[in-house]
Amino acid sequence: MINKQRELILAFESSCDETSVAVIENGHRILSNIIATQIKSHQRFGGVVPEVASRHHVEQVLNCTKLAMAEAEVDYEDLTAVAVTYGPGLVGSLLIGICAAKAISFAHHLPLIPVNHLAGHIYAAQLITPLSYPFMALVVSGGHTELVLVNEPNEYQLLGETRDDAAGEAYDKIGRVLGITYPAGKEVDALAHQGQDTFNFPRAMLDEDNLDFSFSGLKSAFINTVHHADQLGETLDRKDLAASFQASVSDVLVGKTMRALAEHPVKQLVVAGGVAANQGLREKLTATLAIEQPAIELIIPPLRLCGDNAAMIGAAASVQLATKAPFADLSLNAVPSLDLV
Amino acid sequence: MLTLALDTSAIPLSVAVINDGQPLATIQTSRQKNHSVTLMPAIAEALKLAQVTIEAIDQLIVAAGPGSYTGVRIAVTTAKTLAWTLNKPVYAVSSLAALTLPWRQNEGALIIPLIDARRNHFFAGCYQWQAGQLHQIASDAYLDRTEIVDQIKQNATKQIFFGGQITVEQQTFFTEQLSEKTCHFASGSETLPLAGEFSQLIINQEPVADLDHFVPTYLRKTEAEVNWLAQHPHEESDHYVEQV
Amino acid sequence: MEFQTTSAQQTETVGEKIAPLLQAGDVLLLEGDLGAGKTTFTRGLARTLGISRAIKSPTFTIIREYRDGRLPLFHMDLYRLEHSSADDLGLEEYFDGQGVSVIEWPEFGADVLPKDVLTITIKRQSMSDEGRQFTLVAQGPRSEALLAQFKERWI
Repeated sequence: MINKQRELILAFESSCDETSVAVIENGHRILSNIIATQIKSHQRFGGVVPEVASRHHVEQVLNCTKLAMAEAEVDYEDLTAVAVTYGPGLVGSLLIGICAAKAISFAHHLPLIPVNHLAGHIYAAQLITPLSYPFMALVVSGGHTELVLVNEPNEYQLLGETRDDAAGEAYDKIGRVLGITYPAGKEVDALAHQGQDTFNFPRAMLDEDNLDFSFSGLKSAFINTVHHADQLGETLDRKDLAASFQASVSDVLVGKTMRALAEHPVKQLVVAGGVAANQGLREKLTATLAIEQPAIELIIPPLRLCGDNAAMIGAAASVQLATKAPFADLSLNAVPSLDLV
Repeated sequence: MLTLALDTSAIPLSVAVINDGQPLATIQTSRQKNHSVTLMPAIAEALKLAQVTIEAIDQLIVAAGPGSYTGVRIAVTTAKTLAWTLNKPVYAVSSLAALTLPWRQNEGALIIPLIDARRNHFFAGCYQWQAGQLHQIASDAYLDRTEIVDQIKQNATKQIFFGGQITVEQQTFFTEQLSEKTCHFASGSETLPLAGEFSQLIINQEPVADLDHFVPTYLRKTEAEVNWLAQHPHEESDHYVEQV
Repeated sequence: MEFQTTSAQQTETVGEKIAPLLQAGDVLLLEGDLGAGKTTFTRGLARTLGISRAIKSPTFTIIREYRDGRLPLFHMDLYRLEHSSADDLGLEEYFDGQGVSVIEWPEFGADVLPKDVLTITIKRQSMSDEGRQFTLVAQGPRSEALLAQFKERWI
């Protein structure tokens, strides 16, 4: 018998280098959230290799599904729907989650909910605390830097986005210059905490009257600085370089977020995506918010929910279900450059 | 005994519902490689045409490679998820063995099924049908076309039957290089994997024992791993993926 | 063809000048180091094609599609394929398609690229931070025609 009180969503996420399957109850309670990360594999190559990632996903997807179902202690007849990330991401990786989700949805006659990965990152917050609309979301990851106003459930308004590189991507690229292995974010963060902002890199677009970001100029300035020093035979302090880079990134992220909050009154600010793990960003955001917008609740999910995971996909899917967003049919395909809006 | 068979190893797609060896419904396309879009709807349609439900299926057969990496991943992921969630066995067959089926009446002939892998390379097999049973003469391999010629020349058999979709230019190459032999090339629907006949390929075979670790037969490591292994000859490990 | 630009703005202008000449199926290969200005060039090209969205780096997903202009733009970055093969990404569907492909780090996908391509190499000049050396080389009849038209416009 279907338990109508209990909405249970089986969710799949495989957009990049993590295979994850979760069961979410009523959109906010995590019954299971299995995450298999391939990071050690890709570290061998200095970055995510798409074909290797796809192969690992095939190895992992069934095992993760089994564990997710077992840990949640649910059966197929208990499920309300199956949800899956269909973009943005690497096409070969996305397809594995999609194939598995379609097979289970078809075999058990369950609706299939197609979820945008970014919507997932945003709704990770719903797993922490109830959300009140409208709320602001800053999505920062290896592939995305976006300021999104969520006016109503599943109603997104893109206020600003990067015009070139994502923040996380800039971290990885300057990490290479500093000789830091992929993924560089954590180590640059740690290094930055030991150094000083002495190089005064540009704060791109901070003074411009919009909510867009740009990190390509910062990346070039960083590379030029190191390049010039090399030509002169000088060695620059890596800690100060990292600190200066991180200060510029977080100044811009925090500055633009504050501007967005000033223009759009909200009660909550959600920070989502892998770069939300960055200590420098967390500190600056917390401090600035306390001074400028003390009434706004800052929601930064714990590390496990900042990175890619299926629990967040289940949370977003629940919102889609509640708002009667269309289901996918069996022809659902991966959309590598899917936009949120 | 109802069987669901599928193959998306290369450009063609083939899905069939088979009842005791007799195909009840077959979906066949050879238009493009967009199998992620077409496979599940084809399965649903084949079941509908066969007038059976997915729950009624007793077993699955999947062509698990070699072939297009994405194509074989789609078929294998779909098949193993279906098999597990429905609690039914799945049989893995070689995508090359599947291409020998049109020649199964040619007792004892040397059959060379090929799947184009670009740059004059092929995924190539070497098989023989005898008394209704398929025998593998040499392991499926990724070979340059000259290597394929060399291997065929080592076999005394005069009559060579090529399976799979091979361009006219490639056919000419093989005919010229193997002038001492008589080359027969599949044509029309003979070039396609016909899932409706896949029951023939699992005679005396066991189903996949470990679904978790059931992965496609790629036959090739990724270039990334080949290069890395060349530099780190003693460091290969199986523990690159970990649960967190 | 070779020439120099002196500012990022002028690098963008190169893209603006080439955009009106483009046809469906055209393939431009962009070569140059990290930060050489490949995205800057593409931004100018995209804007002149009538694409209103920001041109973001496609490194993360390898390909980004923009379909709101005169022609669809497929912006690819094959950097992630450095150790991999482009064989299975289905890129051919884009090349044969209805749009213009602009490909960064094309050397990592050499196996699957079409034969008729216009290669644009952008080199940083050591004297200044914004100055760039452009080298355009056409392979194949369509790209030669495109380059000839561009030469007339770039004076």
